[in-house]
Amino acid sequence: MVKVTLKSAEGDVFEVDEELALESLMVKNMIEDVGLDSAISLPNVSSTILAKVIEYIKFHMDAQKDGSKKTSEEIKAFDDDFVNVGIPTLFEMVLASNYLNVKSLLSLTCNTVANMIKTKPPAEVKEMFTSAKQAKA
Amino acid sequence: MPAHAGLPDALWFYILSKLLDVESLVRACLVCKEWNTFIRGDGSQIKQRCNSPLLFLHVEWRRLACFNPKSGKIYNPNTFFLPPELSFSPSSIPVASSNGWVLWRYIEEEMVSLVINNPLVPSSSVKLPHCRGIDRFWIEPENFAMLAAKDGSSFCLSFVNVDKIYAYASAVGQNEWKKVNKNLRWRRHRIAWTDFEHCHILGQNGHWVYKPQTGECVLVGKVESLEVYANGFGLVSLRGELITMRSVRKSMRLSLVKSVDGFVKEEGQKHRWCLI
Repeated sequence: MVKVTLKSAEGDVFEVDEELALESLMVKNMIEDVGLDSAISLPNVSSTILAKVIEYIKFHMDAQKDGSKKTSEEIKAFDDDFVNVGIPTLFEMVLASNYLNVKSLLSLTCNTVANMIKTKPPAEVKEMFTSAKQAKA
Repeated sequence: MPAHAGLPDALWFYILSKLLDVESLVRACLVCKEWNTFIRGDGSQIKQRCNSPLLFLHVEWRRLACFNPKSGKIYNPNTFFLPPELSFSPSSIPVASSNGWVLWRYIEEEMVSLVINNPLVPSSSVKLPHCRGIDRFWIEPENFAMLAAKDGSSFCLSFVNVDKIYAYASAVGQNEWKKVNKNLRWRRHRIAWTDFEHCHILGQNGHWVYKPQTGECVLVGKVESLEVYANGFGLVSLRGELITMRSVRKSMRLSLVKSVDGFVKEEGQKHRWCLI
């Protein structure tokens, strides 16, 4: 199995299967452009978030494989748990999935933000996102 | 786009315009100035979703048809979207329409409840505050009037109960109706809102305009041919013009009043359907 090396913003190195790396259209384009000889640098994605993105892609790739025993309820439970994070982390995951161009993760994280807007009064939405920005700062 | 919100404009655009239903979009207007500008701006999703030039007719039970007063044509596409709340209430009916929105009455936990939706747009329903203390029989098409803002952000309702007219206003996000007038005494009158500042009252003693902001009620004209409406009629508004209907329970005639101080023209559309 061919391996791809991804380098996070902090310089941490993640070695993943090529099949997994190609789930990111951005990484796929980079591989087509520069090949597999050197590590692919991802300066906009922190190590924590990159690890989570890899975890997400790996779980869904396994779930889609023939013979996978994962039920749709299990997949939904994983997704729910995956996005059950603080708003700063959620926003970082939205940004990372957008940057890496992982469509299913972008859809999941954006829908999570949309559900927050849907279920909370306007004042709470404003407070929530303002706090998130302050926490990030 | 919102500086406080930590995501780039393109992503907020995607979330607000593609992932929110109309009710959430309307509430999101209240989050901050930037979102308000974005959501209410020209070409935004909410305008495209809520813009409808048609009046609605109640055909039977929960079936609707559209009446285009400009062409005089009635469309009965039978493909309208209904609010999900109606599925739990067999007695639900449409009671009024305004600016493309249809107001539905239904019963929830033995209380009269109201929900509006744009029947041409999926997932567009907005639940309105409960009508506490109001009997469901007062909320019928022939004695109920509604004005909805085009974007569905605010509403005025009024209804006739025996000899009183009640008018209420509410905006999305509020939990209560605010009474906008004193209980004026009227008998066998019909009401319609042409805008948020003018409520038209048509009855045996003339055509009155009530202004909820000031509480003023002014007689603007006589209604000479009212006797022909003695068997019951309704009144609705379209872009500031009043349209009356008569014989609500049987066949219906639509008549267009182009000026607020008298009947100008009558059109001969006859149907058994009820204009709401």
